[in-house]
Amino acid sequence: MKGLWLYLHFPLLPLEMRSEGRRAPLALLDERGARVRLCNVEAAEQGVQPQMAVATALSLVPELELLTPQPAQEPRYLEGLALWSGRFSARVSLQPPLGLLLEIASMLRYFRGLETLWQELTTQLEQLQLSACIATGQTPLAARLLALDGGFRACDPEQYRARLGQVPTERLGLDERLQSRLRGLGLQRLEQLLALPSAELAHRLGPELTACLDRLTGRLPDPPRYFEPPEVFCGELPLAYEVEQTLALLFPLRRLLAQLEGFLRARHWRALELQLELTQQERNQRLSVGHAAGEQCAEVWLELCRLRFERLTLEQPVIGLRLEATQFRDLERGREDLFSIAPREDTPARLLSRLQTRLGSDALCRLEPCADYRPERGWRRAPLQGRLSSAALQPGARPGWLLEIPQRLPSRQVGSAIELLQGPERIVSGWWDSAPVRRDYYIGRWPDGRRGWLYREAGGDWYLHGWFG
Amino acid sequence: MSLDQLMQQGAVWRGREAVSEASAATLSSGHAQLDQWLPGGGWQSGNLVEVLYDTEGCGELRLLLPLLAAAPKDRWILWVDPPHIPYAPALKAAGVPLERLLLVRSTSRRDRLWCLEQGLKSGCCAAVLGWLPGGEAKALRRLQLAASEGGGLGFVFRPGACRDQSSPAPYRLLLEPEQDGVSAGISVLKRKGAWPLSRQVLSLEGAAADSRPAASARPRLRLVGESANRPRLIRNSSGAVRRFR
Repeated sequence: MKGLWLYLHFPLLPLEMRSEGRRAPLALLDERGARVRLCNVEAAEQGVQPQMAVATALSLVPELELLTPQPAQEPRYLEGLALWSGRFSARVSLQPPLGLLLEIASMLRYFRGLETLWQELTTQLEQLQLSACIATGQTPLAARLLALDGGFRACDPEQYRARLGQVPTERLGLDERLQSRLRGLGLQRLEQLLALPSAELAHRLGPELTACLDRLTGRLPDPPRYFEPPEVFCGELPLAYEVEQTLALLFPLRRLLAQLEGFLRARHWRALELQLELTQQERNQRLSVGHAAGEQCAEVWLELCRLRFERLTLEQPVIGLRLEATQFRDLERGREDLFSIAPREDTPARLLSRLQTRLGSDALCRLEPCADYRPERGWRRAPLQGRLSSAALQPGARPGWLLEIPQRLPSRQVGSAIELLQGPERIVSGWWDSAPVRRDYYIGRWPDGRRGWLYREAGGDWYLHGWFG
Repeated sequence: MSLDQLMQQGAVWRGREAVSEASAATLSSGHAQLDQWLPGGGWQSGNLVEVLYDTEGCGELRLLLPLLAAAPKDRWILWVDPPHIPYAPALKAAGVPLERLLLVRSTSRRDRLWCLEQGLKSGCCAAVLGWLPGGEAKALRRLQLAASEGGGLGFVFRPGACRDQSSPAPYRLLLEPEQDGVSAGISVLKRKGAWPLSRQVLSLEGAAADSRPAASARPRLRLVGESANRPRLIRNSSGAVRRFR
């Protein structure tokens, strides 16, 4: 079976990783800061070109935003994208400076054909606002050449061979001497080279060229070095500008979360908790976002982060993001019912995570009965997970509503307006701790027919403690 | 034997038919009398039920307890900002699955509505209970949409003064206490698939354990108090002494 490789070439990667989704004309300077190295589409439309002097570019487009390069960060961009592409293939190879190579022959069945994979890939790239030239090829080198030449999707072998033949020989990246000899011989396209007998080519132009052509056609194996994802996820993204609003952090965060999702998918893991660090000028703000059952999907995490951001006030402008995930759980397949009519069912854990993230974890609880005769101690808040205590039932009738603070009743009402139906039930308890209780409980009927639970203190005062709702 | 023959014999179960059957699913309210008043024999799931009453004690809990007690084990019952503490021993005595009961305390009206909406939308709540003031027609419309999306039942409790305000909830009940203390006067202001009903008396007897008569009318003296870690002697009503752990 022939291999199938997919090459992604990101021509504007260093610029786009720092644009944070803005649609303004942008240009990335070269290392000396004198010339434009890359410019985005908006700038190119107004006449800015790579290699243009900064002064010229600024005179063409006065509002052009200039970004200084961060050479140390650039290999990280590619590694981040390699993590992200883990969702498409487990075998990813870095092709510095601007390319990624994915082995996809083994993934076609999973994606039910190249068409679906291609579509998903382009949708993802659109979401991340990254421009890329994508090409497939039967060898790593062919895929790379086609991607550098503008992109191509393999349909049938004939078309593929014809397209590959059209690639100019300069794309092979041979050394200058050989290149000029090829030009002198009039060999401008690969098809011309491939048509020649290889023994003759090796004889006249050296074995380097034939080796290259053999790798291109697959006669010589050319296994790439695969990228090894790290054991824990840690993604960093410096921001080009100081961000003062939390919602503006969502776009760069989406990129980090997309990387996380690729990382998790490649390992069949779910993340339980994310640590997000907002890098600031002087000190950093840390926050953690959790999901009770663990989650892979970047969109779910993004929503949880958005909810968390709503409660957050930034102490200082943010200049960078750092995302860490250290707690993972294996992915088990969910139980899915083929005939279920429920339109869209969240897992309970997802609902809980969402509520907890917005309201804080103290806002949610369960209730459990408690083995105490004092009514106010007959219940307590219980955590969301785990078994509840099966305390013995309290004897007698208990109301559905318990008042948080017993409400004082005027003594003359009791017995006249409030008719006592049942009671007394004496509760004497708690003499060993700080809240002793000595009360006679009654069930009383109010003039309109409602029934309440009231008690008389030892001193003769009456209190309402609950309603039979 | 061909597939057609098998179908005619009824030996093939088809998913499509099951879907159409289930889409009109109704949930029994747990009160036979009330079920008769509701077309289809109960609440149609995926709807909002508005319960109007003035103060607690009108039977608002007893109305719901049988339904909550019968809630499926894998669904939550969400209580958002109840006016008092739902008393766990009483709920347990009524058979409500406390493991699945979730109490949410929010701090603002916005959060409260958001919680209700999320609970209804998620589709993993059997019932979502919320307490709202009057004049919330817009919010109720959102909640109704969320309920129909998630397919659960939403119960919204509001003051009786809202009875004249229009409401998008497909079911509206007005609850008033009755003199005997175990029934409630129910006016069905709105129901799905039929005309409104004027005030009728619904017996809520047996809906909750609180209708059990107390064993004796005399003050009962008990040596009580058990904390989990200390063994303690207790004399129960039959006079036997048991050792509690």
